Amino acid sequence: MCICTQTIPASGLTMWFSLDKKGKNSKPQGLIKVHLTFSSEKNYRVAAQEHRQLLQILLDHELEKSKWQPFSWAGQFSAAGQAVLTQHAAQSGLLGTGTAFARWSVFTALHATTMPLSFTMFESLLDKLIRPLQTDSEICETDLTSFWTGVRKLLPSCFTIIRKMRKKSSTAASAANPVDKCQLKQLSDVLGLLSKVALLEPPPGTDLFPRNVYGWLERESDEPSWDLHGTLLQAIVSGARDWFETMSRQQNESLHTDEQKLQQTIDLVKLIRLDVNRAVDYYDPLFQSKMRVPFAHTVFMFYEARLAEHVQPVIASVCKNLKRISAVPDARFAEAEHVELNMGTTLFEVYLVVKRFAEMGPRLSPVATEYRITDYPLWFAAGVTHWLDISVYKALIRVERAIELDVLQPVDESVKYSSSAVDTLSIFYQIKIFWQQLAWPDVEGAYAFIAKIVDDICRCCVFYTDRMAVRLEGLGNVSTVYATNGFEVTREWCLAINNIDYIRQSLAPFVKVRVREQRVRMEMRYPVGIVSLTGTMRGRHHIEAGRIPQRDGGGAMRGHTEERDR
Amino acid sequence: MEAERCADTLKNVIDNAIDTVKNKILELIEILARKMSPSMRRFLTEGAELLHQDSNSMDRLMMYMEDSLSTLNAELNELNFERVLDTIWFELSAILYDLVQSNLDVSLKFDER
Repeated sequence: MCICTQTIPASGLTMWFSLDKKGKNSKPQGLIKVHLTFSSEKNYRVAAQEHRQLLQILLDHELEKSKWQPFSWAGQFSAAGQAVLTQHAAQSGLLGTGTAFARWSVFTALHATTMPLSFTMFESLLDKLIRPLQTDSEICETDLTSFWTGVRKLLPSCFTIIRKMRKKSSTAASAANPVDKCQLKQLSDVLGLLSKVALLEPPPGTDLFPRNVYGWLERESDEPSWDLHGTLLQAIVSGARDWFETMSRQQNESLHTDEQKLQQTIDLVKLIRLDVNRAVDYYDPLFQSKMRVPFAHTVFMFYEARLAEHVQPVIASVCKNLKRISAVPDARFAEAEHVELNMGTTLFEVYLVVKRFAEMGPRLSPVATEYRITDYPLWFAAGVTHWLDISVYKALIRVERAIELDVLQPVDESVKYSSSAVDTLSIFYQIKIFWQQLAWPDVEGAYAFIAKIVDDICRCCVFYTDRMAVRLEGLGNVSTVYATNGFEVTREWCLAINNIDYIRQSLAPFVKVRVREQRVRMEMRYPVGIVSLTGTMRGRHHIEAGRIPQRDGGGAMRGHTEERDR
Repeated sequence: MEAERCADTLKNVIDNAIDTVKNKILELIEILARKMSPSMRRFLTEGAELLHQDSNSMDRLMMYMEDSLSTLNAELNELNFERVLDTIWFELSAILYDLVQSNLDVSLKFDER
């Protein structure tokens, strides 16, 4: 076998050769892998030291020559620089591992002081070192020490990325693209890096997280710590805490009215929920796959406790200030009552956003966890009666309007009742929707609310009958030359009677109380066919009176009076 | 037991409301019949006074009744129609009774002379 030395480059050569006996009838006897490299014997420590100095000089030059952005330089030297490094490594007998250690040491030092370099590069450098670090017992003490010094220099920037990722994403992100892709890539690299460092065990006594660098870290003792996992969890919480504080700091402390306070609370809960959603969609998969850390759930656990702390006192004070709404509706209700109505509606919105937020918890973790925010219905208990009052108040006003607007003509050729009957049933239905949206837990006290709703609906029903009778006054009266007190039976009269009868018949099946397992539950059914009819009616009204059909689920509370006032 | 008691209470509330509304319907039906009564009385009185004279008041009464009843029959459900019919009969009988009574008074006075 003959190998020409000229073919061997300075960086060495690795090749497979086949082995065979000399002679004509020889058969291949096997294969051999040969690594060929030129080197001169040199003291390893001197060589490594020289190589580090070379790297330092060349890197300084490289960064000076081309203006690199932070976190972007990923090991690219100019051709000449690369040649010098290769030549030096060859001449000094430095193997791949030796040069990798030198690079790790130089690059991490520069990363921590002058200019952050690419995490992708660090990760691939670590890939080269991880095997020798785990298996090679002959790694010299100096290399080991300088490796861990490098890790200590690198880690703070990693945790900063994790703690500050929200700030970056909120500036670079837009509505269509809520998270910056480059930032996600960087986060992924950082987590990859951490996951590899976590595979290694530092020499005894190494403190990876010194107190003076990690001010945000809560440590139980001053013992040297290298608990990467625990620190990561704390970094996540720390990031969430900063975010929560930034969000709540944006809130105006000087607001005085309850309405404004509630509105701010809604905004805050929505913003925090948005952050949890972002965590679920973008960050959680990365954290789970790389570090097996439940990012979204950790963040949620932090937020839910803080929100509970923040929201509960606001609700308590607003509920205390609620005034009772007069039971008798007046279409020209006073301005003061308007405020009460709006307040109740806003409070209800807070209830809904808090409810939606609280429902995220069980979805994020299969493990049953005690959340403080789960108690949210109890915070609002005083508000429920108020909402029901608002609900019936608005319902009565709407019933009155429905009768005013009714022309007492059949809604359809196939039926014998007119628009107000259909509208009134849909108003009852809105009360039901409200109750469903409330989704009040099956606790003590729920019965009282159900009883109130049933009573309210019955009240609306009787109210409808009374107003319909008033509406009929004067209808069908005829005066002629012969008599002034003539009367003609009209279709309107008949339809009015039918309407009332229709509502009466619908009442019992609509409000059906079911008793089961010692619990009272209310089941309100909507008569078959009414839903579609209501749709038609709404459409017709829309055309007739230029009104917008209400499709919003929260309609029981908001919008209807305004809609009908128009 | 507690739950059943609650359910009973609620059922009572609903039944009460249904009864109240039912009574209101009956009230309206009475109002309707009472409103018809002046016209019926007029036609009958005219008919009684102008009997055997060239009068169409009976035809007019029948027409009025037919128009009214056919509207009611066409629009109301059976039960409410029956109720209306009963009430109209009641009104009508009261009118007839008054009429007969007042005519008897007139005849008596006439005979006394």
